[in-house]
Amino acid sequence: MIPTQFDYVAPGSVDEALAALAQHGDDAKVLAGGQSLLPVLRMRLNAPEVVIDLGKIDALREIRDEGDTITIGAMATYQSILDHTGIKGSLRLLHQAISEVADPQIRHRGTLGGALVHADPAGDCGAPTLALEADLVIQGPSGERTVAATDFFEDLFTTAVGDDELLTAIRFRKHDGWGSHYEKFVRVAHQWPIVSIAAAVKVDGGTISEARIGLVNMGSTALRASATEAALVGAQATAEGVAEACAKAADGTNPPSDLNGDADYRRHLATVLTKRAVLKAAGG
Amino acid sequence: MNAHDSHSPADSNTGPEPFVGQSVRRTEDLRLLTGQGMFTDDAVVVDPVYCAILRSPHAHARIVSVDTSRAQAMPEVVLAISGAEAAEHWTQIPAGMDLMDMKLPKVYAIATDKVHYEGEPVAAVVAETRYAAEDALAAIDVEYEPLPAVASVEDALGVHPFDAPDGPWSPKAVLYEEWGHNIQCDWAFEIGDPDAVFASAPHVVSCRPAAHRYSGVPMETRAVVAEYDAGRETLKMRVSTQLPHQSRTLIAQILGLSEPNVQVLADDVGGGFGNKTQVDAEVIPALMAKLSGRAVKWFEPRGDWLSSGPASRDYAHHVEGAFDNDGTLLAIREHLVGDEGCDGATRSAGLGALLVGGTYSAGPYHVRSYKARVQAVVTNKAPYGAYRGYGKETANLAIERLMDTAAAKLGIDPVAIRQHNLVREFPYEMAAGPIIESGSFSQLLDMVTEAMDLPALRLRQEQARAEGRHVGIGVISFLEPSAGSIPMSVFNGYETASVRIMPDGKAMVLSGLQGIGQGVETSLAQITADRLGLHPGDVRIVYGDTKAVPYGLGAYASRGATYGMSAVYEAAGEVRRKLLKAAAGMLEVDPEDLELGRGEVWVAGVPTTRLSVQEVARAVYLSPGPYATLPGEESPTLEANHVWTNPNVSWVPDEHGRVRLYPTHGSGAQGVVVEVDVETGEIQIEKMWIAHDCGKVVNPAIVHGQIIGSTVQGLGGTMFEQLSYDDQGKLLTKTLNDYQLPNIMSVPPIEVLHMETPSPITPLGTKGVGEGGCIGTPAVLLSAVEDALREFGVTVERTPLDPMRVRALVRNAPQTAPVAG
Ligand SMILES: Cc1cc2nc3c(=O)[nH]c(=O)nc-3n(C[C@H](O)[C@H](O)[C@H](O)COP(=O)(O)OP(=O)(O)OC[C@H]3O[C@@H](n4cnc5c(N)ncnc54)[C@H](O)[C@@H]3O)c2cc1C
Repeated sequence: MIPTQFDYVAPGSVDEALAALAQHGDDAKVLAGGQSLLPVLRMRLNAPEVVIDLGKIDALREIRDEGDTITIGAMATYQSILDHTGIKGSLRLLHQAISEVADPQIRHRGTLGGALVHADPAGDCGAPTLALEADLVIQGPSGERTVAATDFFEDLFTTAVGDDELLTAIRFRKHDGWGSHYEKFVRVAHQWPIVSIAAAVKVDGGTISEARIGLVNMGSTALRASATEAALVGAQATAEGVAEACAKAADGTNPPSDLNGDADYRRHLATVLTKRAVLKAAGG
Repeated sequence: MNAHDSHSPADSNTGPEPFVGQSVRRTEDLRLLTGQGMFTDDAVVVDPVYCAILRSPHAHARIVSVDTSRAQAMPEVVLAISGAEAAEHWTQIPAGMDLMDMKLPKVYAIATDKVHYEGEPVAAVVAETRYAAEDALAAIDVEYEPLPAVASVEDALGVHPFDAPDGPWSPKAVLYEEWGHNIQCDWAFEIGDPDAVFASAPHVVSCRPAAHRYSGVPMETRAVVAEYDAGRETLKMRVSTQLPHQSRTLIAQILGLSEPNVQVLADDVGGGFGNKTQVDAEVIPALMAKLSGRAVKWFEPRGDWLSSGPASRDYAHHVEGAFDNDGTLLAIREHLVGDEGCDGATRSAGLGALLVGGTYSAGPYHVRSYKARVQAVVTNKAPYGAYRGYGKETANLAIERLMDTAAAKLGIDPVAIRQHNLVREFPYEMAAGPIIESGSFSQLLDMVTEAMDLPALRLRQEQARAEGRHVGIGVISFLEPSAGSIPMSVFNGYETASVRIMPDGKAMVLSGLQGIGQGVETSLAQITADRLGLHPGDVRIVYGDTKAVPYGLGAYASRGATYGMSAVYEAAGEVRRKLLKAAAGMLEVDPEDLELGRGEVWVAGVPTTRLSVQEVARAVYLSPGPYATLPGEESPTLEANHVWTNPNVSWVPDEHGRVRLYPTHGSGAQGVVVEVDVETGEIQIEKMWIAHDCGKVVNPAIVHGQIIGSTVQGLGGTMFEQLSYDDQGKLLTKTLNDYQLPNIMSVPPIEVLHMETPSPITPLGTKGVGEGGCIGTPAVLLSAVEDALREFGVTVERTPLDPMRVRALVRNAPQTAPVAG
């Protein structure tokens, strides 16, 4: 890697990190697992003067089971999340999506916090975070605030986290009693998704009573398929029953066009994959 | 013997059983797998500086000015140079090949007045660190005057040659003004009155197979370490290359150095695939070393490999077949148009692949009438180079798509129509010129269909169809011309070997081949060991050093088993003769009475009368010496040189315009089962089968590895990999995130079957094996996907088979099929 020259600091606490951010402002970049930041530096797409490494702040790596909720520290690696039994049991959608992120090397380095702040609409984690209606805990010079997932993703690579702030944790309500499925569509295994669907549904006696659908790579941010979510309520959990609702999965989206798929193809995929994801979620 | 050794019978076996034919464990693997390889950038040199190359952001532009002064003034920068400045110190790049009236661009390794592709070098720097070198690039000011970009064959000619083969052309712009057009080579020949055969044939079928642009992605990109000694006027260069000797010739010529003063070294090469068979940017660090007086290291960034490395494929092919009612192929007419990017003969050597594609489109099938037209068109993209397959996959896709199309049209089973037309008698002179010296084509096809259990598969396919699932089966044959020999080029047709037994009884082989991962250190040692009665572990293979090894040609075109092994075999045979002669003198018996093995020579039937090879060697060289041990011998030590060549090559076009560029012919057959998800376009490859015949197998494990590796590369190219440009000639795939390579998860089970039909023209019966899977895999996958989508009535003749395109085939299909669910 041949980036431009930068200074490196590794604060030992969130307060120190915030102080460093306050001091360097725009010229600084926060380093988590580095799996997105380092490629950016390597290609010289960004040339920060200071890199603030959060790697020494152990408190940010904690995963806490709080009874009804599980709070994941922003610096918890993908792998530590996969290894957490509470998450495997009560947040299956997140667990499944993370198990399909990249490869083991990257999952041992990359963090959920880094992925969410990076806010790549093609990232796997935004959609389950939306579908599970997580709360994101942000700290800045004026203290701590909590932002709902729906308000977190603002635009391409842009979130509610300000230049002088840090994401410190992500809080999930346990989803025991929900069925879920993450349907990822790729050309080459371990690659970024072309489109993915994160579906969580509650089924009562064969009828869907609640549904949350997150979409990956269907716009400039991770999205929720609200038309489908609404239409699924009261639908039979069968192929015919969900068909009409799932056909609305791409409503209102403005997906990108690239070599893997143009916007029309992505819209088509979203409907096909949503149907598959919802049926699997309802069946499991 | 521990469990490890059980895989490698040779390790415990030094008996009379020959080593050739055994899966001797690769001697190179221990160092490679334990990080002890010596790749170019691993070389430690005194006080190095680091080279970085500034590349054009434009596909086509005039260079108005290049100002390196700001860069030159940076504290750690040793030297910054523009193309115009460099041109005072070197010549234009000499062409790697020059035949068939091809046009040769007159260009320097750093552009002087014009750039022809995005990524062409326009300036270079060397600095004390890689960081400083990279920083300095940003301080070089280049003013360009952009020109219209020629981004396609249509841009280059104004009309596609399929619609107007002879123009008139109206190019959007001309790359090389002195040509007046954008065609680098236009080659045609015909034999057997094909037009008349077509006119009277009961059936004519045609198809238009086409492949997108992709290429090899070696783990090690291009790399150079160059040291210039001004006192001796010598240049020592480590290069990641397949052709050390020709690299030396070309580099010496470009830099105006005496060739004996240049040493090219290539110890371990991290992947070649045909991609490292030219001298292009490699000469830049060499010049920088000469001008700066410092040792220069250059290790190409991955993005530069993708933007400026040799690209491949990217062609459109129109093939027609005339068939009799019973499915007999009567004639072939073809027209192949290649998008070469800016050049296929000077900066790199891809043009030959199009000539091969035009020559071999009959594949392993019998046909007497043949007409070919090949047009190589230049556009504003990176150079066109060699890549595993080198046109043989182009030929294969054409003939195999034609066979499937004919089978469907004539209502004949696709395997039966192939069996009906396969060549069965050898040697066989193809209508297009080459002589297929031996083969078992029909048996290979049988092997594959039997291993697949084709009738059972067809039944399963029926059942799946009834459930609304779309399972497809592909079966094809392929021809693997090997040992490419192109006179009038650096890819000529001979190889050298120098074999010696040293005074300690161990052997040393200097081979002109180049190791690029194919295991030549092991296979050449097996051959030598058998000839000299030694253990392969006592044979040291030396290659990749122009100071040590006689002039040879390196690794390309699956030539090692034909040329390299034969040269070693013959040279070792001469050493064997002298060894036995000396031993016979010492034992006072006739050489014919002697046997050789396990490092010893003994009198047949009298095992107690024996000498070790070491004793004989010491006697020959030192005590007493050759006066006593090899009296009267013209060259009285245990050393011999051999240059192996063969007569089955001709390069002067005959009265029909044909040439003969491959002396040996491997072959094979392939099968695959796929399932297409018609809703998404995703293709699931369930299993692949490949039956292969490379003549005598020297090391089955190595052959197996070659077949698996080439099959996966063929699969990657057909399904995932893509060098894609926009309509302004801008590369869209600049990282490995965009250029998608297959990984272990994308590889289906592959069953490999072997057949050995020895070549009569090589002493061991060997042919070539490096490219097989790359040749047949595109065709078998397209065949299977078309079969899976049969109900939709679609034709599948283009790559890549990415899900969006496959879905579009279904969506736009002339027929609709019931979809499950
Ligand atoms: C080869 C490869 C394949 C990949 N494949 C996938 C894939 O299939 N799916 C997928 O979803 N992802 C994939 N990724 C991306 C991976 O998931 C990254 O780890 C993730 O996007 C970023 O997490 P990180 O911890 O590495 O963050 P970093 O790269 O360290 O940081 C990312 C960004 O977030 C900022 N940031 C990080 N933490 C904080 C914080 N606490 N507060 C404020 N700002 C912060 C950084 O400043 C930076 O801008 C892949 C990456 C690679 C290299």
